[in-house]
Amino acid sequence: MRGQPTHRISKKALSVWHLKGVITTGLLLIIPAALFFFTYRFQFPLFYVWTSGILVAGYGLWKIIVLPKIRWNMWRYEVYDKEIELLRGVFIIRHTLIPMTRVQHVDTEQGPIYKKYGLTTVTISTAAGVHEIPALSEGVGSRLRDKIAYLAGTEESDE
Amino acid sequence: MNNWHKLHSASILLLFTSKVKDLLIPLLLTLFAGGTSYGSRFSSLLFPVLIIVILLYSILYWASFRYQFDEGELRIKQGIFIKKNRYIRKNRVQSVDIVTGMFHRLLKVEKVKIETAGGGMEPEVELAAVKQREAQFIRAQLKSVEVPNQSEGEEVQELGRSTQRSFYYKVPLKSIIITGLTSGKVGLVFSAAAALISQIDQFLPRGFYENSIGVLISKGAVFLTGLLLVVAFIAWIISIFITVIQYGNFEIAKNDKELIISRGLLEKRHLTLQLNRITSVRYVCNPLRQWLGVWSIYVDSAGGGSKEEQLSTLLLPLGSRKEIDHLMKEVLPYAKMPETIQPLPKKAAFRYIIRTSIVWWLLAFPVMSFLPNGWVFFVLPLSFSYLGWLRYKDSGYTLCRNQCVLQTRLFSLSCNILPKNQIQSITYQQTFFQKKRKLYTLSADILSTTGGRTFQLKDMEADEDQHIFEWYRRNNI
Repeated sequence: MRGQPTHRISKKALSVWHLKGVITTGLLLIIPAALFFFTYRFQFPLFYVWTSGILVAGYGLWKIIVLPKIRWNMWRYEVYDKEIELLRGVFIIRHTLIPMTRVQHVDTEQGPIYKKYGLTTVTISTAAGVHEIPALSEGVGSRLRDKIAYLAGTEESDE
Repeated sequence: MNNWHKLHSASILLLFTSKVKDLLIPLLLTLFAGGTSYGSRFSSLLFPVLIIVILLYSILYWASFRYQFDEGELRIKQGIFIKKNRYIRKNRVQSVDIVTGMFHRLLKVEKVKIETAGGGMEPEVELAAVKQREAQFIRAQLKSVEVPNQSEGEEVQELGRSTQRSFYYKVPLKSIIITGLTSGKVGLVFSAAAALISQIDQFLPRGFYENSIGVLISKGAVFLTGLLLVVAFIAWIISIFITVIQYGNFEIAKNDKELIISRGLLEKRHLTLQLNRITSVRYVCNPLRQWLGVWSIYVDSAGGGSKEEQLSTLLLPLGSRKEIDHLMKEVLPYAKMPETIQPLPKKAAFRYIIRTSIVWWLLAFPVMSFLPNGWVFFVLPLSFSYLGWLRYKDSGYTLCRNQCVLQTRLFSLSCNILPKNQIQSITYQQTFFQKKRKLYTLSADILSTTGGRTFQLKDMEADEDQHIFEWYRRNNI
C-alpha cells in the first residue's frame, strides 16, 4: 500500500490558465457584441444581448477565477522507479498508473504562452495513448523527461 | 540482392475500379453536370478528364511500386511524385491479411495487407494485386519461423496453407446460419425492406388504391400482420444469405505462434495474427443469443481489424459454450471464458438504472400531459430502467493472475479479457456523486488496430481501487 502522489505542478500554471481564460472569454465576447449590433440595427429584442452577456460573464468567471484554482489544487504526480502516477480532475477525479515498461517515449512541449512563463508540458506516450503533465517549470520538466526516459530505458519490455 | 518485384498488372484494373467506387458520388455529379444542356464545354469535359486522371494514377501507381525481401525485411518503394521507401522488419509485423475479392478471383490474383503496430486507419503496406503463389510466398516470408528455401514456389505454397497446423476448427454451417438469424442485421434489412415497400406506391398504377384499398381494409388486421410477417421472413432470409456469404467457410487454425482465420464465400479473407500480440479477447452476445446460450468472440490486436467489426477481428462468429471452450483451450488458453464474475455492489444498481433511463423519465412527463394516450409512452422509461438493471446485474470483474476480466453490457453483453502485460495504463476515476457513495470507475487502455482502446467498468467498490493497482503493479514491475 502506498500513499497518493505528492508533487504539484508549477504555481505559474495559475497565471497561464488565467491568461487562457481571458483570451477565450474575450473571443466569446464577440457574440453579445454582435447581438448588440443587430439589436441596434435591426431591432432585435434586447433580451438576447442580456442573456448572452450573462452567459459569457459566467463562463469567464468560472474559467478565469474558479477553475484554475481547483485544477491546480488537484494536480499531483509522482515518478517512481517502476511506474508513474498521475492524479487530477475537477468534476471527475482521475488517478492513473503507467508502468515504466509501457512508456514508449517522453516529450517536452512549449507553446508561446508557456514560453513566456518559462513552463513546459511533459507528455508520456504509451502504445495506447498519450498522458501529459502540464505546466512544469522548464528545469523540472526537462529533468523529469530525462529521468523518465532513463528509467523507461532500463526496464526491459516483455512484449 | 536487388530483385525488386512489381505488382501484378491486374492491379491497374483493380485500383481503377476501387478508386472509381470511392469517388462514385463526385463522379456521378460531374457526369450529370456534363449531361445537362446548360453545361458549358468545361463541365462536359470534367467527367472524362476525371476518369482519365484516375486511370493514369492507377497506371503510374503500379509502374512506380516495387517491393522485395532482403535480410528479413520487407522493402517497399512507391510514390509517383513523392518517392516513399518503407522498410519493415518481419518480426515487427502484426498481421498479414490476404483478401481475394470477386475480381481478384477472376484475374487469379490476391491482395495482401500487412500491418505493424503503427496506428492509423490504413494498413502500413497494401499490395494491390499479386499472384496467388506470390501471396503465399510473402506470407511465408513474414512468418516468424525461418523458411529455408525461397525459390521453390510450389513448396512454399504447401508450407503456407497446410503444414504445422497444430489446431484446426471449422465453424459449422449451422452456427453461421444462426448468426444470420440472430444478428442485428435482421433489423437493418427489415427497415430497408419496409422503406422500399413504402416507396412502392409510386410505381403502382393510379387505380390501384381505389381497387385494392377496399379489399385491404376488409381483410384488415389479419392481412397487415400477414404482410409484416412476410417482410420479416424475407428480411431474415436476406440476412442469413448475407451472413453465409460473408462468414461462410469460416476456419480457424493455429500454427505454433500464429492464428490463421480464413472466411468468406465470394470475397475470401485470410488473416494471420501473432498470438502473443493479441491485446484483448471479448465474448459478446446480444439478448437473443444470450437466451440461446451462444456467443461470438472478438479479439483486438495492433493490426488486422476491419471497419465492419469496429476495428477488431472476429475470431468466432457464433458458438455454444462447449464449442468455445474446445476452441479456446487450444488457441488462447489463458483467455477461456470465466465461470463466474464478481458482481458490483448493490448500491451501484440505482446509479445504473438512473444513468440508462433518466432521459426517458424526464421526457415522459411532458409527453404524458400533452399527448392523448400519453401513458403508452411509459413503456419506454420502464423498459430503459429494466435495461439499466440488466446492465448493473451483468457488470462485474475478476482479477486472475495474469489477466483482468471486465464484463459490461451496453445492449449486448460483453465479457472482456485483458492480459495484464498488454494493459498500457490503468486509471480509476471518481465523480462527486460516486465519492459520496464510495464508488469509482475503472478504465484500462490497450492497443488496438487504430491506436488505443479503453475498457471501462463503472461503479466498483471504492475499497478495491488499491487492490487493482497492486494487482497491476505485481509482475509488471
